[in-house]
Amino acid sequence: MPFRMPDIAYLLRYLVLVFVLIGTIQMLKLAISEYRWSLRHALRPARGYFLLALPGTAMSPKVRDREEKRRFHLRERLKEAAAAEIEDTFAAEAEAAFQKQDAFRHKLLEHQSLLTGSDFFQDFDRNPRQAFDSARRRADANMVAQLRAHEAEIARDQAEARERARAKTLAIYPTTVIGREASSDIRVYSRSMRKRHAVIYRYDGEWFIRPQSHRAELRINGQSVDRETALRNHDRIELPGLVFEFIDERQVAAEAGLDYAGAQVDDAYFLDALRVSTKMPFLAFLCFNLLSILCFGLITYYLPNEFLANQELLIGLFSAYLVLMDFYFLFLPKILRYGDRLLLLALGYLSTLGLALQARFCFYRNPWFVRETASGDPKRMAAAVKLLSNRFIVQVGAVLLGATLLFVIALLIKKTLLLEKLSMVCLIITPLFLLATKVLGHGMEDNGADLWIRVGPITIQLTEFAKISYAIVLATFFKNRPKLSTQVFFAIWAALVFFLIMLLPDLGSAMILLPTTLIVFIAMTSEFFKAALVLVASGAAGSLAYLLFPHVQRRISGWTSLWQEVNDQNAQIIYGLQGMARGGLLGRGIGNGNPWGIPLFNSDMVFAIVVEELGLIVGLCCVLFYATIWLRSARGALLARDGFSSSLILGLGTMTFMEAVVVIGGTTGLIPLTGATLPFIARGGSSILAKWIVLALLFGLLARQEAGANRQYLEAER
Amino acid sequence: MKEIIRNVRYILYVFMGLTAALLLGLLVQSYRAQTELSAVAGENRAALAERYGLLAGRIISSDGFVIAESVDGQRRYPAKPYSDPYVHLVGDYSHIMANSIEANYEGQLLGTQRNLIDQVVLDVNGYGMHGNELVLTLNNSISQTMADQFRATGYRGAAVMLNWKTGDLIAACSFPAPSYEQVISYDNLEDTALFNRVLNGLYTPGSTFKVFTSAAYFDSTLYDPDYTITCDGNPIAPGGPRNYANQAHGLENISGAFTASCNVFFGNLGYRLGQGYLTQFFEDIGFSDQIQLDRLSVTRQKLAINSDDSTTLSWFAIGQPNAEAEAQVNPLMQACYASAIANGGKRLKPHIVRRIVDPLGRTSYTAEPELEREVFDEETSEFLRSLMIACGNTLGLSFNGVEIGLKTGTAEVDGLDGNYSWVNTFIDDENYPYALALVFEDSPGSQYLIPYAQNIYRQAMNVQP
Repeated sequence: MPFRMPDIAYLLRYLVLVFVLIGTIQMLKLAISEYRWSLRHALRPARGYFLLALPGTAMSPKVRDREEKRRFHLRERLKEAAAAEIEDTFAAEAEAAFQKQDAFRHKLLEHQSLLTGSDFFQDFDRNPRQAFDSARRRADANMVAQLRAHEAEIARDQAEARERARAKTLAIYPTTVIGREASSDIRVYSRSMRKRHAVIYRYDGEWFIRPQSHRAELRINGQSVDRETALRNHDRIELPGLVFEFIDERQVAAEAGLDYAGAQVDDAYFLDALRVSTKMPFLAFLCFNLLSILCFGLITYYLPNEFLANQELLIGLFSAYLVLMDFYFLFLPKILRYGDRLLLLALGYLSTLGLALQARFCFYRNPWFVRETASGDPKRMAAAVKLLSNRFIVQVGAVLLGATLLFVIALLIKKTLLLEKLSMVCLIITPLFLLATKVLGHGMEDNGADLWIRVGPITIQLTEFAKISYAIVLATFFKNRPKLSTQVFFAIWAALVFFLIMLLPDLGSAMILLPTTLIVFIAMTSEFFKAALVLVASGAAGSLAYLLFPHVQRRISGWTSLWQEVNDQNAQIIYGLQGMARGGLLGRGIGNGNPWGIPLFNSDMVFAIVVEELGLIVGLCCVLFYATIWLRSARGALLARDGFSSSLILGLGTMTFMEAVVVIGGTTGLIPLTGATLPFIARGGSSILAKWIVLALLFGLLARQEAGANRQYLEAER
Repeated sequence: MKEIIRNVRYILYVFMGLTAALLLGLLVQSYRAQTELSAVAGENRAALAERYGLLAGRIISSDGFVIAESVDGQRRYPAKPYSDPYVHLVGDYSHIMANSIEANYEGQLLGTQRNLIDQVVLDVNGYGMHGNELVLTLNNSISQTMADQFRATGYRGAAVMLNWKTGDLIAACSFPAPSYEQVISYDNLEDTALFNRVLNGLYTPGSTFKVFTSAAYFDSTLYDPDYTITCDGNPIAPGGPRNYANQAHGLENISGAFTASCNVFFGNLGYRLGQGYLTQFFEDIGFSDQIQLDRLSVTRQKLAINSDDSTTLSWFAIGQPNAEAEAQVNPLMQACYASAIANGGKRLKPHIVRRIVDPLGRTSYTAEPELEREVFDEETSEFLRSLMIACGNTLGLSFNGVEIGLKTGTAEVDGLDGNYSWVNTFIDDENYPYALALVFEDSPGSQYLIPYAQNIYRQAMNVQP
């Protein structure tokens, strides 16, 4: 029985399939169940802040009752979730914390109403009975009258305080819509209230309020406002028939000299429930390790003689990658609380498969290498060994760099508001990146577009980074529903960006960014009709692009003639499909496929080799890995602390998923081929690095779960 | 916030749909790729070269000659001239000739067409990627002898030898035959070199067609064993054919006319039998049946009689139809009919693959004789057999005490200086159950072929596969 690499790889494909399948199933199950949990708990008030509906406010009984019910049900659900998973004592503590907070609020309000007073009445305030007796003894009618007036005033204040205590504290969310519409977070039944009247949102560590249309009446502390305005503690918000007071509990506690821990307790309860509901995918983690050991072991053990000098280096690099990923998985919650293990595993699986395949392309039966070897010229052979070794080392180096930066970037994003500060910078650099690519770019392969810029010894694909900056700008504009003028401004900017993209040409980026933009737009604004219009306009623009750009015509022509004939436009896809057909369900084993002859097999068409060598089932699992990444981003968008984070998480997750859909669809002839590359699997140093940065941003944003204090308070504390 | 939650839920439904559509699309495309794109002309040559070169199974002749094998990562074929009998039928890894063994048995040769249990057993034994071996029915020494006859003469044409007891294809040649290097590089190819005349050639049958006319006559109500004519070289049927060089054969019955290949006699028969009867007769014997040589397709023979006038019918009956009729025959089918005559009227399915053997030496397929159609009844086949044996004896094909049935034919073809020269024969001996059809293009005449047919038979009788 032979024990060559092809035979062993062929035999071990069953194991590869098992490891990948188990990992996929467990991760998908957990992702779906946690997503459903997040749907139930997404309507989580921003702890530490609320609106106080002041007396005289025309709040309908319906609103009051609903708020009561909502708080009750939320409390009950949290208790249920906690009780199901942990000891009963914790649930009792949680309930005690709620009651404590309610009691504290009462006390706070009472105290607040009593804070006003003058030195003259200090005695009275301390001991009213003694003050009255003292005034009568001195027979000071004026003083008595003043004292009675003061008493009446205090009584009124107390009545007001009692009224205030009964007044409704309304929860606010990271994005709170106030209006007449049923979907409003604070619904007000008033004719002069618009359907979407105003929005309160958190951004960059502060709270803001903005009228949703120019006809919406809004006053802050008596001043009329027509644009976004920062909210401070005790700011009076006046809407038609409504007066609210914005309360920052920490600041109120600080003013009252009270020790305030309410928000932390509340948040701690939720965050503990969040942690408990987040299961540890241990089986998937184990299978990931086994898969990595299997793939890397196979490659390094059967390394051809010519590459043996690099064997130790390769073992070291693979080990470093695995150790880093294991470290993150096991210790992530300690380093980066609320770090997403499922996301990390999805990333790990894809990266392992990508590294294994790229190593295989460099080291096994590379026909160019075979020809160089056959020449018999030692110099040519040595040069070939060096080139291929360096190519792979660059690839794995990019992965290691990305993995190292993952933690750094994620921590930076979680702890600071850096992204929010960079948003305007991104507005400028996005088109600049594209312009630089157009002017300075050159192609890597004969068939590819000119998307690479050479900077010394390295080449960078700036378009990959442009996508990231685009997502940041998108999130900045659509952290909530902006004014029409803002939307128009964004539309013009986005049109410029897309025009530059088409000029490159980079059809793939256009097909990725367009649905990403629409998804974020719809999620944050509910503007379904406008989104439909944009879709129609995009279709028209696409038709125009077809008429104007020959490369678009070639792509479409190749796609439509796919099942009729083989020609220059579709040969690449047909050869890829034939490769997939050869692989069947189980694949041929790593190294046993026939990628040579498929143009750009290690980048654009790499999915065909995934199926040919690892099997269609593993290919389908790869699709599900990308779907898991999106599910985690959808979950993160629901649980995020502010609209910008929600928007950016959703944008980055959608971008990654859509890139996979566009690439896999194009590779398999479902849609025209675009030239985009499969995230984490395709060859490309800067592309890999950019994808890891995207995931790092996602990690950081998803970890922004702790109670976010008001910036002023934080600054004051410092 | 509630709006955002609602919108994300809607978007989730869209993404679930998108994911499901993508997964389903992958399954559909994968299935279509397996059924529609395999073995397509223009398939990825580099991939084919590598796949076949790696671990594809051998193709060997029945006497052990290796026709194709994978050695050191390359697919190897015999060098010219030894490749001549195989290049069209076996083909090569590039699938330029799509109607070939390498193309149509790709799944077997590459080991991709196995059931799960067999695959697992082979995987466990370390042969999971190795292809199956194909043992053909072709005999190398007879095939080389057959090819020698073409090389000696330089004529284009085809030859087919079948075993009339089993249907095995013993030898076959199509000339001109390019070398494998020329085929793979698709360079320096002679005109029509890639055309497989054995499977896809169609020729005017000439006087070989008189076998069918005789059969039609014998089966008809007109048949009279004592029927004779006096042949003076001139046609009896109005507008009918004359004899070659206006030969007059005198008084003759069907046996004499058959041996002499008398156009006058058979032309008259055609006229007497009529359009309706002849059309029905050829349909009954499956003259235009679509047959397969295992997985290789064979071009259907053509036949049509579009007029009932004497000219059309009489020229049709001698295998030289005019514009109102059509008769085009295929060498393999001609050999099948010769086999049927030797075999009591049973036309068997021809086979080229005798056995398929997996890497563990287990036989997964063995060809068995299989009746395709009973074209003649016993009496008719006996009648035809006796006619052909008489012809073979008279023309000197029979030798070494073995009687050989024979019908020659020479078809004049517009545009050629020479003719299509045919011999359809069979050995009337169960120990040497061979039928041979041989056609030379643009050649002097059928008599010219008889020595070559003898050479092939001598080799076959020496070898006795």
